Amino acid sequence: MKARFEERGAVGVLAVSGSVDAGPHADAFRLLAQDHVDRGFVRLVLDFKEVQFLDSAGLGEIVALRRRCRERGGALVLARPRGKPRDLIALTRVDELVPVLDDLDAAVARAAL
Amino acid sequence: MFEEPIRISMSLPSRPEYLDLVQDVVVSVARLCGFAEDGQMDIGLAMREGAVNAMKHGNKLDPRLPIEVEITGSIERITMTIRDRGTGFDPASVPDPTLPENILKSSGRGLFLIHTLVDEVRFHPRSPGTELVLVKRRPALAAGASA
Repeated sequence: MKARFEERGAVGVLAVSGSVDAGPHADAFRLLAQDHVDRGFVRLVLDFKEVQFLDSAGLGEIVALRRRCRERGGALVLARPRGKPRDLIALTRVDELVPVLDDLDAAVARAAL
Repeated sequence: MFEEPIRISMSLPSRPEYLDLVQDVVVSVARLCGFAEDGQMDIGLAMREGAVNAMKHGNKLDPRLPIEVEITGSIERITMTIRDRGTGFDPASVPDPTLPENILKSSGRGLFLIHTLVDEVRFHPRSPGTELVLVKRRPALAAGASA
């Protein structure tokens, strides 16, 4: 799992690549995301364009991150998941909790609301 | 693709660091057995979810307790058997994570995913522990296509 962070006004965009799954990857993702929330970026976009693999642990991390953002008055938006990760997000109905948008700019605008 | 069946057995400490290994092995077997890429991904994810359940919920992540994995592959099916040494498991006790009362929980999606990824899911109680058997068939084989 690799990640790149970018500030877009009050919104933080965390572009993730590789795997978000049980074990070290999910742990790294949790620590990284928590670090940005602790720094005040409670309006977050997760850009999953380059995520090739996601499992139930990764899905759980998304749900937990949403909770942390909302507890601090923020929001979490998921942008550009593709392939099997997107299928799993829909299958588990996580997309009913976290808005999923195919356009990154639209996702940033949604998180800023 | 080979017609001879493949059988692989592994014994792994209950450490999540081994999940990539067990997933990579079963994906390789699926590829050698002629499963298409989408089927390989389903098999790999089902194995990973089964193994993490065995390590985490069965063996409580005690690295002294191994999980045992057997993979049998043929051009017709992949069978994955995962055994832990825990105190037992009642699959009926696992709630549906897609129900409104459960959807906000950050855990509990693994078994649900397994059921959607493979064709057969069977739990067998052992002493000690639980054996999970997962079967993924190639449904389009008869039509001459891979799945």
